[in-house]
Amino acid sequence: MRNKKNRIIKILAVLFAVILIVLISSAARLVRINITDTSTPVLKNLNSFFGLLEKVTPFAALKEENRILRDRVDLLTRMAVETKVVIDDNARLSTLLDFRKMIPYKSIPAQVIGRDPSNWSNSLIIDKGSSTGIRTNMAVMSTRGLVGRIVEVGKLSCKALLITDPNLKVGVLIRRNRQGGIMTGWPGGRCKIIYISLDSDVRPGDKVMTAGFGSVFPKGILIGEIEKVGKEEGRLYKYAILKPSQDLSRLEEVLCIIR
Amino acid sequence: MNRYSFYIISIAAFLIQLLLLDHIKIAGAKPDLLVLLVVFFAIFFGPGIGAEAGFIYGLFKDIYSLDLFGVNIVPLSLLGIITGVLSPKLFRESRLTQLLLVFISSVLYMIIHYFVSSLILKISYATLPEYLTGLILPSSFYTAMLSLILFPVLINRYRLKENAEYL
Repeated sequence: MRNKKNRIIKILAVLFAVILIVLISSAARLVRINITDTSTPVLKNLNSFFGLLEKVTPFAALKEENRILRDRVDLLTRMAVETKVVIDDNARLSTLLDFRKMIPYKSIPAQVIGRDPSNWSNSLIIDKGSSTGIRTNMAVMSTRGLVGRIVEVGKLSCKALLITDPNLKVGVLIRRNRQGGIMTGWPGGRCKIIYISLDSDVRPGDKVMTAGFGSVFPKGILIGEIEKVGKEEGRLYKYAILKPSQDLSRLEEVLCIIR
Repeated sequence: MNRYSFYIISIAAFLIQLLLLDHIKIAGAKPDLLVLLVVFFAIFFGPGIGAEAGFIYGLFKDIYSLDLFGVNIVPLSLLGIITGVLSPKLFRESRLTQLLLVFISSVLYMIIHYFVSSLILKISYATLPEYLTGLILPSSFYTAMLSLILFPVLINRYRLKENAEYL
């Protein structure tokens, strides 16, 4: 009997706490930034520890060498694609307008120390915060292309929303035909480009880059490749499903862009 | 079950969920260890512990993700209570029952999460059927499969027997 009474009290206490937390969600945001900050050293050390465990396994040297070479290939591939864009841009702009050259951007390197525990939002916890110059709305990229945008900043850590999250929107350009669109995250680790006009000849395999609209993402950063194109039912637009240029679940280091 | 083992298992599960589970993602879906544990505690220890586990794990998810605060606490706490209330009416020692309970609970949790998020945030470019096929069903299936490995380990750890006084 007493046990049952205790159980009911416990359930009511949990429900009360749930309601209270939902009511004070704005204050809770501050609390969670501080909790994430406090746990940053622990997460950083644990992350290094798990990394060390992987390195102790056999063929560690070969694995490491392979990883370095892969990173180098990725970097060169991205540079080749982006250089092509710059060449295209120069050729096109010099005949049309006396446009200023693209402004090169500075960046802050950071390490990924945690990932989103839920299946819903796609985010990363990064080991740099406001003390190293990180601000909200900075673009985040890796050696293979665009990763996301900084959303929450603590003193020692920050959270970045990934391009595969449905709450992130990026203005994009399809490199081959300069067709614009808006990209948003899509379930299953993909992205979706919406508002593509019906007469556009978007094709699977087309490379997609940032358009540089707004003040968050610099122009010309590689995002990924179109996998599938379709027509929105009941709408006068096409859509395209895009595969990001990298596996975002395996990112280790990122660059936060200063504009 | 003593409190220490509950908290040790919970902390281990938090860290695995936060640091390691992204490495075993398949087609963008990863298993949800925390939903699996809420269902386990609710099935074998009743709605009180189920609600407590749901609340703590939901709070953890809300702190470390970019979800709207409270959007994980509510469905996970409810899941703990509902599974705990329903499970005595089922043959909970059956592997098939456990598998189905984990699968259904995970699907329910994600559907509640979808509705709460889209009602409050009002921004979702994917519809529920698209989420179902792209995320909810694959990750729930993955979580249910993981329960086949983890439930026997946890049952053995707690030496659970039918009609035993667990708490």
